[in-house]
Amino acid sequence: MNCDDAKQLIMAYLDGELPSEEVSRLKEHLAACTACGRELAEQQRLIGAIKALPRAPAPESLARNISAAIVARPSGTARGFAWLKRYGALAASLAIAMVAAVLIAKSHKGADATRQTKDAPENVIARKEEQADLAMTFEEAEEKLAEAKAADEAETRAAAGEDITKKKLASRALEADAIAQAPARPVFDLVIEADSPSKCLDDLAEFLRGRGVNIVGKISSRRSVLFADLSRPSVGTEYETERFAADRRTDIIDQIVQSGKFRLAKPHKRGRPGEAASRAQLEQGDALPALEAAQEATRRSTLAILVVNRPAAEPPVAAEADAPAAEAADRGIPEPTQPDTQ
Amino acid sequence: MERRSVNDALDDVVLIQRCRRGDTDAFGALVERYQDDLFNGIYRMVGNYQDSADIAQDVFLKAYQAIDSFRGRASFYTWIYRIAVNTCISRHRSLAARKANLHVPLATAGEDGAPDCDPPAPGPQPHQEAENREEYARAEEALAKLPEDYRIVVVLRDIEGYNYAEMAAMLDCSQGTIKSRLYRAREMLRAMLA
Repeated sequence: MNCDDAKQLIMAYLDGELPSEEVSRLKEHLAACTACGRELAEQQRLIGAIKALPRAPAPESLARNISAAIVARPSGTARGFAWLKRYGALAASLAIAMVAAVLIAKSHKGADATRQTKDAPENVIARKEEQADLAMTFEEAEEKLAEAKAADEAETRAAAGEDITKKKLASRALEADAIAQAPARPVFDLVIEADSPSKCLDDLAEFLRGRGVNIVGKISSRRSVLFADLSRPSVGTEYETERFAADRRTDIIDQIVQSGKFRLAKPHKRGRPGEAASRAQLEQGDALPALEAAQEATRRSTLAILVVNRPAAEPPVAAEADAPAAEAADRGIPEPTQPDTQ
Repeated sequence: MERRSVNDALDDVVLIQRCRRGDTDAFGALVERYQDDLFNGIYRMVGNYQDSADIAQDVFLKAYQAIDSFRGRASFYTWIYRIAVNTCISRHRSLAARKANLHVPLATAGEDGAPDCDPPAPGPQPHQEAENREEYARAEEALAKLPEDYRIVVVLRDIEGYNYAEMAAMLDCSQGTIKSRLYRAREMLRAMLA
């Protein structure tokens, strides 16, 4: 590998996008070339500077504005966000205490002491309780405030623990429902057709291993299925182990489709994961997202590809000679060009 | 942003199911969870604090209105971030004249109305902290000066952590275009920061 080649690959290497065989070659070159080593360090420093930029927190008014916009929708009978109102309930209790204190101070004059506090923002919520509370003493108001605070704190604690139990039970119930509705057949990420499914499985396994994917197993009896583990890199790759395998799944499926080596079974369109009939049946109702979430918990790291026999009338698959070009295009390296001037 | 756990993803599914049944509080919980990350990503793409707040509000409202169309194939955050990218791009096309002149570097904000943010963990010495702030301000200025197409790919890759395939899907272009654009963007940043 020469320095020009190396410079082309350094960016993809730092981004974790370089195939394993290229990583080894690049590392060999970097070990021997100080100029490219400096290039690597400079790119790494630049990326680090961008990643280290201070985070901009959302404005405090953002959630309130979103809540107001949802409530204001013409079709909506929606209420605003309860977590904003939790603070409003406490403010309402404070308003009650304020109103009671003012009334007591002016009780002998008979003045409408509520007028000056009526328009305070807190009283918008307290207004309904105002009439009933006019005779309340200050001590009673204090008591009510303490009760409201305690209720608010309890609600906050429950919300923070966020009925974790309830949520987990709810999500497990959804999972159980979805799994119960699912047909016995597994849901495949891709369905490929080939003249010889078992040979195609071997080609597919080799293709995926070359991209750093762990092959878990192949079945070649009644069905030809390949399972790959997307969560753990094969030896020698730089692939992050923390990434969601769903993201990796999309990437791998994209590479398989774009390689031109494998033919998607009809009627599945190019570029979309082949959807077996079992998945199509799940499109009804809410089962699909729940099933996907449920399956993600266990299938998040698994890629499942089914290979079926190509129907006899279909023409043969594209020639092998096209594959290297397609593969090279898939791993396309950017041409260094002069940056635009502003 | 940090990738969320499987439990968080399951929580999101439950919240989204509740949103679909008209539970606004559930959507509020999603806003509370993701507003900071989303706002930060938008701010880095757009470079203007007030515009970023408007866009973030717009994005969440669009997500609320379109919640039935979320299929769960990507994470909820990726879905709303994609809405954000598209919204930023269309806004840029209609507000091109405003985009550059109102940028307030976040690393030195406070004087110009945008609130201070928490700086990343600095070294113990005050002068080192000042140097870090200056370095962040330079990097921030350089990022803001990039043409938007180049700035977006840097934000998607180095701030949001998306891979080339995800970026290509979000921006509806090839991975080759992503790689090329990212390479040029980084070369421009290096030239500005040299």
